[in-house]
Amino acid sequence: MLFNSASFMFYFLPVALLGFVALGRFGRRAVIGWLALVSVVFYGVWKPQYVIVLVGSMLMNFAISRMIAASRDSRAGTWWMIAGITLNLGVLAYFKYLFRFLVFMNQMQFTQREWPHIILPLGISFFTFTQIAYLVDLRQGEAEKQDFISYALFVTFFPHLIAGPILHHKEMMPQFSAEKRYRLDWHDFATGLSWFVLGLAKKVVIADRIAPFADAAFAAPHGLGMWNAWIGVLNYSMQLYFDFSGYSDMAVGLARMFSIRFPYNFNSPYKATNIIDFWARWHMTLTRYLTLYLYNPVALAVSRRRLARGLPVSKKASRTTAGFVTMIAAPTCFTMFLAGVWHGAGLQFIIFGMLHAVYLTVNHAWRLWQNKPASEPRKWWSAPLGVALTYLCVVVAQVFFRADSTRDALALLAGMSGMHGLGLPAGLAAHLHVSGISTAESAKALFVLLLFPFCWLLPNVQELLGQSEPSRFEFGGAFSARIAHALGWRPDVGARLAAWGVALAGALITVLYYISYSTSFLYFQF
Amino acid sequence: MAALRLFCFALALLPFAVMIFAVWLAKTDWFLRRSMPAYLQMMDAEWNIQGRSCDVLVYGDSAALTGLMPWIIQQESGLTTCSIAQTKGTVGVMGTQPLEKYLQRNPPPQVLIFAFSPEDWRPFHAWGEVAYVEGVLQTVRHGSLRKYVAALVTHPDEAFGFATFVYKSAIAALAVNPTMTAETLREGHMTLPSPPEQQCEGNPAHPGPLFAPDAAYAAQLRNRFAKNGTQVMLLVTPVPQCDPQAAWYAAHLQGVTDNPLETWPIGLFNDIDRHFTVAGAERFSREVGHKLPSAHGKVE
Repeated sequence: MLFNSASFMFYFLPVALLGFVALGRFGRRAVIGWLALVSVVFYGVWKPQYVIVLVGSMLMNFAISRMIAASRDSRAGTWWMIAGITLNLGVLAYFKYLFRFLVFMNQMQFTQREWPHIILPLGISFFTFTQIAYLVDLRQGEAEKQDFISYALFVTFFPHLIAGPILHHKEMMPQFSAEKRYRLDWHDFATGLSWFVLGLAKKVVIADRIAPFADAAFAAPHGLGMWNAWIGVLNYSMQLYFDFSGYSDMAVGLARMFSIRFPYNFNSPYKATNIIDFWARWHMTLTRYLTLYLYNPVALAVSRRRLARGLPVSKKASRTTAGFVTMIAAPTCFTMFLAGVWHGAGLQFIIFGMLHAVYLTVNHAWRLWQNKPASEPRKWWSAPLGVALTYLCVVVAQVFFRADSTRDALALLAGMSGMHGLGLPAGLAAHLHVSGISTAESAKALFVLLLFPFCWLLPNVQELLGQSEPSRFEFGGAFSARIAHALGWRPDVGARLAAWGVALAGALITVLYYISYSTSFLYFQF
Repeated sequence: MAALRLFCFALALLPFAVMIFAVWLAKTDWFLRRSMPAYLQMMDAEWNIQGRSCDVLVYGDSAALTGLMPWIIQQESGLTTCSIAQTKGTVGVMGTQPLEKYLQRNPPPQVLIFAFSPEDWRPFHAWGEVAYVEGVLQTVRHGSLRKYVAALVTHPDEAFGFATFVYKSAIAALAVNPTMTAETLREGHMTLPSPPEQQCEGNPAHPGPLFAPDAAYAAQLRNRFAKNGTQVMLLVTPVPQCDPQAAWYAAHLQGVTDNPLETWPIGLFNDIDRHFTVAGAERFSREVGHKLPSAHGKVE
């Protein structure tokens, strides 16, 4: 079920909320049970048979978590954890990679058999990784044993079930505690509803509108002139951001309606002045996951190994070539390689991951060897230059992320670099016409340029809603802070609340005007 | 707190209000006249036919709408002929409701012709296959409230899509004239103004899905309406010779319809390989006229 579908908005959500309100008087178990039940229904509407995968995964992991908890102080706990991780990754590999690999083998003529087309269960990566993290932390004593109903809601709660954010048990489990009052909180509901509408507007009014221009470029990337290639890629870059961050806003807003707080997943990533900063702002819960469960363990293992060999592990040591390669570059490359593989099966995803590995490594090297204190004043142009350079690097990697193949991605990059000529604006209409976009419509491809000041200078949704403060030290931060202060969410001020009501009603009517139930979210494929 | 509750209720109920207003708007004559193409205006008018005595009545999908000209059938057979053919979207959503309404208000015809494209000999379930807004519009304007609510419950996404369609059409109508006013209307019947097709639209290498004709559905149409002296004819409309699925449909329609599936030159079609040019419509209408009984005889 899509958040932007009529079934969700007119049936599912009202029923889920009414049940939440009605069952609140019966206490924690009734409310949590209800939310877990409707979440499974939410998942099952898509393909009922895949409920077995979700529920099966949940039951399996819950059982393993019990075994780990029961044998916490013995080696058996470690073996149970390994078994759990293996089983989880096995299921993920089966659905996500095995058949893709077999089809590839067919194409290479290593096999002749026709393999069935297996549909990837929605959100399998998200609910698998969430549970692996829980098992690992449980084994390490970082997590507590949970009752089944809390665990079920942690895994299935519908706002995050399909495309994240990737939740961490430490931030979720306390919210299912017995001390909490399970009733509708009007402040939370109003905040959540506003958050949801703003996310919906990002998705429907912006991302879906510019998607055809991105699709046109990626559908026929060969021979594209520089102008057309850039217009297509910039549109994709903005489509991806507004689509995924819109989805994340909707997820956070929906959870808030039930007074459950989700971690943020986006924090104005295109304001990032370097690539490390970018990953701290883009798909933040994935970054956190990768850091906690891939990068840190590898970096720790490397450090231990160095210590065992009598080598230093200090910051100074990381400034040596050998130290940098082993302690920073290697863990980064390993982590980003797996991040690329996680995003999809195909060489282009590996290149996407490895490009970011190179960016991050260079960024770390720059920081280490530049050796400037953070307090030192910067040149006025350093932040804009950093933003532009970071964005350029991100866009190049996004070409591989979106392209159907590495060949297509390279063709598009060749177009962007001018190897296929300039393809000046007159060529844009002709190019888009091939994809069924009229000359009159083609001018709208340039609308994407208006989105840059929007992304660079304005506060993001959580800042507007007063949930976080724009940093005055970030790019455009002072202006963002002023806007957030002048226009931000203030439910205690009648005039401001009325203005927000009018603005959100306008946004919602615009959404309803443009909404199309056939559009899904880009991150559903993961 | 009261202001906050008002804010929440107003915002949460807004989508429902938008839906209700769309239905109200769709029911207005302003919307129909200003926002809807000519063929939908014509189909809407068919609901109001009353006391008309037609010897031959045509019901079917858009292939019948564009392919059967009542006055030519009348010329050929000497029988007064009327058509209340709909579009696939209306038939998909409403089934035979327009026909039933006609039969309630008018004398029964001697011959009732059901004419459908090869793929439409089955009851529809998936609205996604059809331009359902045409059918929902008819439901809103002429069906019962119960049926609309049923449509809303069983097809929420489409009901929502319909509301969007209503607003888009209304806003477009404020800016420009209806897009299809240039459509050729001949006594309320039409073919699209587009030129003859040069080749089939479908990709021969990847033809679309096949929809098996449902013999029980066809038999039920015949049994249900063959009463009060009415003879029912089930006719499949011709398809282009280049249609890669023609042979399959021809084989599967044997025994289902009263005529075999014919394949004609592509130049007699001008849209989606199913809608007829004027020449195609004339040819099909004459063929059908020939098949009819001269006054009280039997169908050939």
